[in-house]
Amino acid sequence: MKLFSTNIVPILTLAAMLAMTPAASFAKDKKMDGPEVVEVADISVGLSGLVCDFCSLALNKTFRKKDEVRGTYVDLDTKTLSVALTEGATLSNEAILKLVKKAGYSTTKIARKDGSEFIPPAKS
Amino acid sequence: MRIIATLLVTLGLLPLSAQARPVSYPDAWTVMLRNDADQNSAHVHYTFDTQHSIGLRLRYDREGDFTFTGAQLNRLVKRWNKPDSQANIYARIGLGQVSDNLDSSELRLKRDKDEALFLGVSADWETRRYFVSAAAEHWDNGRFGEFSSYHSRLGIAPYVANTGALHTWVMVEGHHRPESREKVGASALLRFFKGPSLVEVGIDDRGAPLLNYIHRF
Repeated sequence: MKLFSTNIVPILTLAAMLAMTPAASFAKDKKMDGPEVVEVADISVGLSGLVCDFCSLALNKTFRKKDEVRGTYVDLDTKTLSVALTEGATLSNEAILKLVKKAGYSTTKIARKDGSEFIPPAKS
Repeated sequence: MRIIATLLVTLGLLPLSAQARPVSYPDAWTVMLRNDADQNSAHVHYTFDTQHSIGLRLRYDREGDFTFTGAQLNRLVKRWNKPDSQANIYARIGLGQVSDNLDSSELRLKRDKDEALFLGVSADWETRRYFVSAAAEHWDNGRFGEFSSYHSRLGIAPYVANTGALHTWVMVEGHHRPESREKVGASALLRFFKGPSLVEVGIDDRGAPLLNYIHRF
């Protein structure tokens, strides 16, 4: 029984993949990305689930899409994401929790330059 | 008809489960190449949300001498993020066409082809030092036959590397393919991992080389 021509499946799939991809995804961002971000970071985010460089990549790419973010760096040893903000910008705890979750990880703590700390509820 | 039944069963089961490694972060593209004694396989996928990716899959089966070309949908069924580890369960389904490979000596005008469907599940647990995974796939290749394959892996990192450094893993993989001439096998491999790229080189117990590559962007 022939449901449909399976020849068109790869073509339709590729078309769908390209249609869903924002053009900006292929552009290399010019934001800060090295350990030097730690020195100028406005926010330090404690994370769980960090085990490899793909984890770092996911978090960096997800956060750097935000206009408020000037640069990011993930340190696997300290399990910390450092975020430098653009001048005058803010990023709420809720927004940070959402971005970390979107990247596939969990937040254990959000610490800010002003000394304030936020410990999210267990399931964030 | 069997394909339709399998498809329906799978679609029914997928919502019951929920996340895996063939799913990256939203808007990411991934290229995954696998070359070993059983197959040459390429999977290019796009992750469109936290739990799903869709992509193209091309797989040449060495023993059956046929090629699958089609679409593959991956779903991260469940992820556990712990302070020092991560665990995942993934499900995947593929739909496409299998065709045989015309030898230049064969006096045929058309390739044999048929619809094909495959289903797979995999699970992994990883720290920065240890890695364990298991995967099962079932392929229904129409007139080219059905087969199942089961893989499991153990890995250890001889040293723990930080972001951006070269990560190295020593791994062993066991595989079972009940319908194959070689039902059981094992491979030893080295995994090198740096930034967005991962390369695996190895050899199996029959002496056949293994070369895998993953790149994310």
